[in-house]
Amino acid sequence: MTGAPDDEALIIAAKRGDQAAFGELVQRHFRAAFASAYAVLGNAGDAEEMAQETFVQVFQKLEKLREPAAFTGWVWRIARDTALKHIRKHRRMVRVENVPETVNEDDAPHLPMVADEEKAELMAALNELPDDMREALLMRYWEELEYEEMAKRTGVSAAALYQRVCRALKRLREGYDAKNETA
Amino acid sequence: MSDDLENFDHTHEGREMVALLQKHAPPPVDSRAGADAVLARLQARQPEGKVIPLRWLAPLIGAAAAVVITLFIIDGGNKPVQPETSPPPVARVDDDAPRGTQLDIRREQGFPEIVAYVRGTSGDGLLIDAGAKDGLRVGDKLIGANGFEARVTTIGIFEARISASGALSRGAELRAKVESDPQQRAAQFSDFGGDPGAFLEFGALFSPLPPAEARMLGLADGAALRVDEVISTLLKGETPVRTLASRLDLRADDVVVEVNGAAIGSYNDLANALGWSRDPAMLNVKVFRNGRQLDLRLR
Repeated sequence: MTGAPDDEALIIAAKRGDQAAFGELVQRHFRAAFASAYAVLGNAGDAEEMAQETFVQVFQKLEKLREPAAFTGWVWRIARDTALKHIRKHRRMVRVENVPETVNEDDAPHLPMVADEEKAELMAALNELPDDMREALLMRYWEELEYEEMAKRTGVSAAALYQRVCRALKRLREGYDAKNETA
Repeated sequence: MSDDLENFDHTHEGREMVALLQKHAPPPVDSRAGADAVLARLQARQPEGKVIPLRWLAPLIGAAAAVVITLFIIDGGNKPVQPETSPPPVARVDDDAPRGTQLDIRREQGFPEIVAYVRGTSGDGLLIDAGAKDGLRVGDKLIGANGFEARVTTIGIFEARISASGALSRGAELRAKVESDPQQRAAQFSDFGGDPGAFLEFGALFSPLPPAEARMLGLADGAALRVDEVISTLLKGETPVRTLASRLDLRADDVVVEVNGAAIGSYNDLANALGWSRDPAMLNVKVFRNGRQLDLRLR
């Protein structure tokens, strides 16, 4: 066998404490974590920091990962959760200082912290997609992966991923148009 | 796939969305530099030197604590104050409730009743002046008149946050029966809608210690909590008051293993342990900091 080791081999090595293997895994998936965090935050600086924090958490939880094929989805979701936690933390600090009368976070839809209206509406629509759709869509158009590479990373067939991307694109379009109509 | 989805990426509408996505794609990121930064961060979290597993140290902990306490007494507790590297975070707590009010807790068997005052909003709920020291626990259900119901979402030593928004105004009296259900306490904290690791009045936010880090310290899984953030000061009215966590010199990334002799493996353990401390001046907290065990006491 030639070429670079696959993710599974790197994960096994990283679990055994191979730092270089973990570094290679991070490098391979860093853009995915960055894209996932960026979809929440809309800010490259914060997204990069959250991508780093994502992999610190990945390292800490690696032992629990039983299915290496799930690694990619795992990274996407940890990055998203990390970014959401970052927003909550900042909201909390603002809120306790200002002490508004009543704030119920559940009632407040997630809004990325961006000034550009078009971008804000796109990202709000993106964040309304189911996780698997959003991940497939962003892998294709933000990570710029070919379907074969996406299939290799996710364990889902290229044909199924193509269908998923088309569905996601259609639903994104509907969500985005709805926001424009109400704006 | 239905016809309207077939090749949607090649339709006019689909292509427009793809173009919009690409227009707002994140900028390029240096993955190699990112990986280096991650490895550096992990390196910085490694404990210094060899760490002896805590279980082997058990017989020595008491003796070490005694030495620390003795030194504390000799020193008069006047440890030098560490300089703050950044402005202390300040959280405001409304304190317009009538002064000198004490809880009137009538302990009926398994179904106590509390009378507390609402001190203001806190996070996504209300702050009341009843806390762990009065027997409240995260997950307890408060049942008041006129169908009022709330959950205790966060516990401080003297105060608690409850999941009731707008139902009561600041300064209102809350008279409620407390239903303590161990099953509810053991349930997912997220069900209660709060941030269970936020011990606001104590002045610190906690999260469970990840198993990989616990192993590095020779601890069993779930045997400690990590400090995520310390709130240095709370404003009581207009007066800034240093929190207990700050006075203890608790710091972010400290790993708390014991409070007043009680092992800390969960938020409930911590709430219980803080509740036992009727006199906060007696607080004694064992932590790991950079892989070294420290005993923190109020100074």
